[in-house]
Amino acid sequence: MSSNIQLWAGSPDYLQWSRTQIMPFSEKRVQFLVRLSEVLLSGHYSAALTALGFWLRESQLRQWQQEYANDDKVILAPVGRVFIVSPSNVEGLFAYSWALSYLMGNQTVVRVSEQLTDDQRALFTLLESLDVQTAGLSEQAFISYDKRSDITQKLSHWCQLRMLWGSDQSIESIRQMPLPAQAQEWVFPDRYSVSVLHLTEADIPRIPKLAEGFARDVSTYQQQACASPKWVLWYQTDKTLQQQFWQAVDACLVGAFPANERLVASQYLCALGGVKVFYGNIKVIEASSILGGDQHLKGVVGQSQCSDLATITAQLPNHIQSVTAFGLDRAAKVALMTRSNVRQFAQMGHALNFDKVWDGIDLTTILSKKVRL
Amino acid sequence: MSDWKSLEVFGLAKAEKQAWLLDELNRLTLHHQAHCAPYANLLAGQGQQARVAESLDAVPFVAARLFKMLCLSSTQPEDVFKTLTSSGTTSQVKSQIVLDRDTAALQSKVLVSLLSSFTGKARRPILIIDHDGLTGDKAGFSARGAGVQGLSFLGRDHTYALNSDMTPNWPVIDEFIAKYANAPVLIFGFTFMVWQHFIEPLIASDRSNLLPQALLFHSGGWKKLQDQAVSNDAFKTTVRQALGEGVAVHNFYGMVEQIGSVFVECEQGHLHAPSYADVIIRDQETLEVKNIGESGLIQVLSFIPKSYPGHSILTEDLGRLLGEGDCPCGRKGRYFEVLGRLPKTEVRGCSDVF
Ligand SMILES: [Zn+2]
Repeated sequence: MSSNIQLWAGSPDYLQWSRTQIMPFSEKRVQFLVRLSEVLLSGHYSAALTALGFWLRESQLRQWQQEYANDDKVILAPVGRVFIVSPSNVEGLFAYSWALSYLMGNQTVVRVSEQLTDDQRALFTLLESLDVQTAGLSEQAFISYDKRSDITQKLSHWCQLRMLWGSDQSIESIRQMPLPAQAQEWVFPDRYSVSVLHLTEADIPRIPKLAEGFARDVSTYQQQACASPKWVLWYQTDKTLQQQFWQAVDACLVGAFPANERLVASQYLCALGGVKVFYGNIKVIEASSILGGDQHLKGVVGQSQCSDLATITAQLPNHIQSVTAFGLDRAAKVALMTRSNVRQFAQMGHALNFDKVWDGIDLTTILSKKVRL
Repeated sequence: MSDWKSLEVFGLAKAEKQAWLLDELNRLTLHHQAHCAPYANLLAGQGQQARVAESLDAVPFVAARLFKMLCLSSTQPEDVFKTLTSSGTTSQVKSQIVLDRDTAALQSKVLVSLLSSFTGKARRPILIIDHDGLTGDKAGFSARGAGVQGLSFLGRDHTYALNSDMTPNWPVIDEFIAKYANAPVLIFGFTFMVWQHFIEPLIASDRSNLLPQALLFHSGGWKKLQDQAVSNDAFKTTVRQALGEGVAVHNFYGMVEQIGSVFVECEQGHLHAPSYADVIIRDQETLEVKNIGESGLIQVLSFIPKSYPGHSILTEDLGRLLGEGDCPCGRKGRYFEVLGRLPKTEVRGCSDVF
């Protein structure tokens, strides 16, 4: 079967790469990422790519290097050959998991969607030019191919770690292809995220700042990322404060969502039993529990009122990922996570900031092995 | 209230039409509120419960995409006669329109009455630019099949012009031409298929002036032809080149969510609202009602849908209101043009690589 493989950056001969002796945090690889970060931070790139550049800044990489320093009991080593399948809805995501795989010394093949976004094109162009200067990508490949191709199968046999990001449906479909017993697999399927907010009178001066953060969390990727909050669970919060919060959020979201998307989303939630309580640049629909979690709605946030933590956890779906929280102390967070599948908490405005511990998984750990001495 | 059959298709003046259609629509709103729980929820959630609209633009509307996200039905499961699905590409989620016997029958009757105001009462031989075999399966009844079936009531000697692989079935076409070269005939097909699978092959095969007394109805959107830079004028010119100078060509606008009430293009090139239906243009940002000359989202109103709450739908098509009651063609009511689809906001979400 013809494969129609397109190579966007890196080297094409991945199925023939021979074994190398590169170790985690090899200086050459750190330098490559530092250079990448510097260019991305030069001011010529989009907000999303600039954020990637910031994430890969040298001080950060050096801090990780210290964090994972070898001791006299274990030495960190690469997994070896890593195959990453990345989703297209969060187009920058592949770069984060790839950078960690690269940093840990692996040979990596990343599959991206055939339809590149502008950001992806810009990033691949940059990676290619850095590769020409440094040959830093001689054991890395960024490819796309037709989904009917047999290349997924070939790469599944080639790799020692298969990492799948995407919808439940696409992950289940790729999982039809057997993985050899000696290979590991990690999956990052569909997730749902909410915000839990607890505001008191004393928080009134902070509302504008919180609202700005919330607006950023929902407008980035138009609410379509797994970690984008789709529902607000108000924990012991007065309704007038809620109204103030929504007014402040509204002011930050002028033009963020097309009117027709807001209409479709709010009508959908109303049809399921919700009631419109705020109507503006974002629509707020109230219901006694979370509705419409299986649809990808834009420009609408649901809300429900919770008098105690148990009513919060009772509402959280099994695939809950992030809780963007305000006003919860450590004990409250522990109570939420022990009674639900919450995988991470985030501060307001930081819901979509990628972290090497993501979805409850320490990516650096799974992309490396700890060799006992 | 007078029965729809007593209305002249394009003969109602503004005030009479308002009175008749508004009454029908208000009744439908109450009916669906009582029989379709999600619809009742939708009205309640938007603060629109128990409201009788005092003007057509106050009738609550449902966003067209909701029919793809929910099963909106006012019909008991045992009374479902058939379920229509939109003919979107396989990757798209399709609309589901539930029909009972009465609504299905009304759809065809209204469509026939509407279109026969263009064709005349006599049933003409009809050449269908499609292949036979679209209308069989009740469960997965497609809008394309429904369109073909709806139009077929207008004609006799139904002849399918295409093979199942979409190539022209020349023997059948030539026989039809030989038989009816000097008779008034009807041709029906989806705009793009008429162009690509009929007119272009006809011209390529050097056939011309074949059916000089034909009337062509076509529908289904201009997107694909616009991509090939074929305008409505160029389409008409080319059709007449192939079939004959005097051929009447009428585009019509309609949607699977409101089969039966279509908006047919008149001799002036204007799409007309018949007495049984209407069109409202709304601002795409504020959803406020727009005036004559202005463009925005097209809302369609129809008295037909009783089995599902589709009597007032806000589409994702853009159009411009051109006038009301004063088209030089003499038809009363509103007339408008379609400008295309609402630009799609980038598809992200669940779309991923596999
Ligand atoms: Zn006219």
